[in-house]
Amino acid sequence: MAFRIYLFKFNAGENVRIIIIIFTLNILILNSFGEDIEIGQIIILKGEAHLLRNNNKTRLQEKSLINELDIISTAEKSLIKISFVDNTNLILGPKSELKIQQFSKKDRINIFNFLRGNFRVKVQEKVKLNQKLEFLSNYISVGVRGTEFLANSYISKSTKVSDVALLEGTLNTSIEKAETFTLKAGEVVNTSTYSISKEIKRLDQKLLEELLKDELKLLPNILEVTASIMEKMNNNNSSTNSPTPSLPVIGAVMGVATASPQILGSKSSDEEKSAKEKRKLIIKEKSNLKNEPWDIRDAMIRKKELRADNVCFYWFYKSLPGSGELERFRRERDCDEYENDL
Amino acid sequence: MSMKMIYKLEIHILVCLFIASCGSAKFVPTTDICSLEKHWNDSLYQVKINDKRINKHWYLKDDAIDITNQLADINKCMAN
Repeated sequence: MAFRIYLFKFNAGENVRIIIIIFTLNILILNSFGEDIEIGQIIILKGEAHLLRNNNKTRLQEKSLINELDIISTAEKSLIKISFVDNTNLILGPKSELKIQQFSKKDRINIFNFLRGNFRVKVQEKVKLNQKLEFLSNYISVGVRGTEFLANSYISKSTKVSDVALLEGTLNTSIEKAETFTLKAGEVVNTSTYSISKEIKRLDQKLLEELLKDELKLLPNILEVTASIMEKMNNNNSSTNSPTPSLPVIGAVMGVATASPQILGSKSSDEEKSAKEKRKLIIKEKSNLKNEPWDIRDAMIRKKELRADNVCFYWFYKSLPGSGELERFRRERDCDEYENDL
Repeated sequence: MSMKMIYKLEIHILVCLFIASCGSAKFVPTTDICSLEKHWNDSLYQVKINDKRINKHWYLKDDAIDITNQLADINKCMAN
């Protein structure tokens, strides 16, 4: 009440002064809150690229600003380079789509989603322990500390797959339904190949040098290149009326993973033989129940039947008094019951 | 009701609205990663969130995957 009366007592000149002060304060407050809106800028644009923001699609220009939750897409034969405020540079190749899922300037908890296409990332500022920089793609996510890597997200044989190749540093890589591993400099992994044979390949030295030399060069899609090589090989075989039968499906997929001299480092025939042996062993191991101890074999065999009654198992290892060795124990549990000590 | 009371009530409502506006929570999907680790010898798997095991138990692979899905449902780790 006192405030209102006070206002009424002002003359016109003082009122204008107060309005100016309030207006200035508003601008200051809005500026301090609006600090986080712009997180990056297009610094190179070749061809055509678009931005989807709040369901509005606009054409990107050089120096266009990028916000959190933007979806950026490039057209055919196009390329863009984005520089983010945390000194991370990201290159999108032709027909690529990127979503900035989360970006926080203050805490540096940034998540990028590679929806499709070819990408190249250079993280120039090291990510500290309380910060997070993550890149998601089909069935793969990589946590970055300070490095340069390339990633592809595409569809091969009607399955979504991803490739990740590392140029510098190390990369914490996690593939869906597989344990996390560290990718080292010069290595390349494909989600489809890894899920079959847990195989990590080395990049061809020539390609690695080219990639390091040209900062705009992108990684070719591994499975597409290898598939075309396989196709050519098959065509050659058929043209010479070779009696060799076509490869079975699993063999073909594995062949695809290895027959890529342009991308992957060429190996000697001995190494290839031992690699093939290893793969054979992995497949054998998966289906061989004979080698499993009775408690695990029993749980595996009766899994469907027990699940119908909501009976599942867990195991723990414990050394009994008197014997130094760890022994395995099995216990029953409800299938939807598990302990979470975290 | 006196004018003074009306103003007091008005101020209380404004304060309540101000507090309520601060309290609106946004659902933030977690970015933690669930992973499985195989036992060195047996075909059993342990469930981990950000490389920390959730307990000392080991499970069959399908059961372990099932647990990661259940963890994702309650936003303890990212959905696959």
